[in-house]
Amino acid sequence: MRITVKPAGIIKRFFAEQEMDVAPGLTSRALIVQLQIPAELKMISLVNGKTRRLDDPLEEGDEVRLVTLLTGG
Amino acid sequence: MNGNTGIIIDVNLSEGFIDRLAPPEEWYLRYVGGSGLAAKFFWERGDFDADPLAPEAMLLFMNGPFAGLKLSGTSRSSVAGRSPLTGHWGDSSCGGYFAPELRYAGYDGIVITGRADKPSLILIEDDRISIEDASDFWGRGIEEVNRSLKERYGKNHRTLVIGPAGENLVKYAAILNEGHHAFGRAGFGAVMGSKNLKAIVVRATRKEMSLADPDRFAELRGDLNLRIKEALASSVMRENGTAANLEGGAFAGDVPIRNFTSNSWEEMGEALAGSTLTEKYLTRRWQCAYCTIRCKRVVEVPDGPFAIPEGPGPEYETIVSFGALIGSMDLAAACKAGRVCNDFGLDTISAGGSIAWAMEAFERGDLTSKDTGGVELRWGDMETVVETVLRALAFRKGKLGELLAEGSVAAARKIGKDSLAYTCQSKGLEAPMHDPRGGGHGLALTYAMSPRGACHVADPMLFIEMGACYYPEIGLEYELEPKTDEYKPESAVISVALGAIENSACFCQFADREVTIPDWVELFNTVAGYDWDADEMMRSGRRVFHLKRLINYRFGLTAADDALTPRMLEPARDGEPEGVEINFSGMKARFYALMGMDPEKGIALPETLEQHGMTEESSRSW
Repeated sequence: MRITVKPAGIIKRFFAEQEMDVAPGLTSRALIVQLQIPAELKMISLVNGKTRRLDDPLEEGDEVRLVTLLTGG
Repeated sequence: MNGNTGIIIDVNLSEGFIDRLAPPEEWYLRYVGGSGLAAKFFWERGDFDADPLAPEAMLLFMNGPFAGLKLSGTSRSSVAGRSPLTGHWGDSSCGGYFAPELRYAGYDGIVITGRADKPSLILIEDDRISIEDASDFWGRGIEEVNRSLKERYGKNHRTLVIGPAGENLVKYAAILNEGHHAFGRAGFGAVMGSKNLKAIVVRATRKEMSLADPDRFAELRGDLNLRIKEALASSVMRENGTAANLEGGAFAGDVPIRNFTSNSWEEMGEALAGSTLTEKYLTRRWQCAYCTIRCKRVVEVPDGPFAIPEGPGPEYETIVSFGALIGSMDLAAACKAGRVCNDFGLDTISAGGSIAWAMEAFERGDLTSKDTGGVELRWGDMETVVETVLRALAFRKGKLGELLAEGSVAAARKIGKDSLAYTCQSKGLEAPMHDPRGGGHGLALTYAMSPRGACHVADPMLFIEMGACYYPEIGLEYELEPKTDEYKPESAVISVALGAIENSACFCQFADREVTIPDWVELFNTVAGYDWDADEMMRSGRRVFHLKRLINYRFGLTAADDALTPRMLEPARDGEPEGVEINFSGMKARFYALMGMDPEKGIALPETLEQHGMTEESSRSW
């Protein structure tokens, strides 16, 4: 299936916005591994603008924005 | 004594009295240092009836045991006392260069009471301590005074200076070290102003320190400095500063927009991001003493309406306070606003928060140009903010200056019209730039539980929810979903104790994320010889938390004050967290139960105090 993945903030250093062909039922957690984002970053997956649990399967046409909350103060 | 010097400078400015105190060693063991030791001092010697701006009020500067030890993140110290902004316990932490110099000079802290009969400064040069005339500095901005002090005393003399805001008793006036690093929160710049104290200057010519196990400490320091330097989070902040991931926060709904009325503004994230600051305005990176992270920024805005020469650049909190929070995504304007606040000596969070509230009040018609002396307050109008509002605030000029110089809560009480409901604060302290509805629900709980008021650095909940903390030795091994209440009270009871340790040891929360619990324990034991284990360390953390709460109780605060405003708890109106409600009351009740606190009084139960060896404190509270 085809999805669009978008990085935000510091995640831009790991991949660029792109359309991807991925295995049906791929989860955000597996996608994060596939994109080689370091495991030490706690990731949030915003699927079509809303936080989705990392183990939920993605669907055809989803727009997935990967975000971490690593932040300053 | 190992680690600490065991000596505190005691100054009464009314009498011109200078002494050296040697507090009982047990105070250090039980309350560590920094804001914890300051709380113990205040509990024992503070005047609970004194107005925060009265001569009798006690102002405390306190180092932690690691100051000057050349370990990344430990060049911080705390200022503390009764906050003029909130009326209860306040403390504020600052990095930079003051803490190590004070330590090298031979002191752990400074306790100041009284009011000088003319503008003065305290000069500390090793064993020589004096009160000097500072009349020629009064009325002048921090940048100029910092420069003049270095010309007068020497470039290696370290400075703490207040600006016009402190002199004019603006309730959220800051104190700046080297004109760059700020004791921002809770208004202690005004306390210095009320004492006619323009500056404190310190210089040491020696660097001797006594440690419990210097060899093992040196080994541990080498290891930690390297780990801190090489951590991914450090490299991110070194590259693009504390606002490096602002865009990520904006998409998640963590960045507050227009006085917490919105959590969605797509273009804003990149416009205000740390990478944009690097690309457009960064000239140099900078750091606190001995720190390998280098998250500080030096910037120049070469042209345009907000042009500024090369100098201190804004942190994340300043960028959002003078950006999204007041409806602007003009990064140059945020740089300029930050620079003006530094020079006037204003806390950027409370200044931005008070202005954001006023802009909303103006939009709603609760505040009119009659109340502001003709100043129109509009979202994103940075020219008015920078050119008019900040000066009005710092100098208490006109109706607008007098109104906003008291902070958003006092201003809201003054104009009424239910405008208190849309202040964004807890216990009178304006909230920092993380919206719990989008950032993490646990933060709502810890904002409310923080003794000084809404605070993201009183404890590491912000980092815990973002997954940056894994401490199995103390039971913190949850995988948290930020935007739920699951395991948040359970995490918060650990967080508040750990936060009390961080703020008493004066360890930067960016650096100490690399410090494991066994590392923490070994640091205390090799430096100060406490002979602690993890349980005893955490018990000290909880003790500090409980003591600050007891101080607040004596100031009249109860559990009812552990609250957030209706605005901060209403369901988010848009963006990722749209419609989401925070289960605040459920988390709060569970937190009290887990902490052994009374759900009405908001303080630890007698048996809890007993468990923490606080029998005397208990008898004075129950």
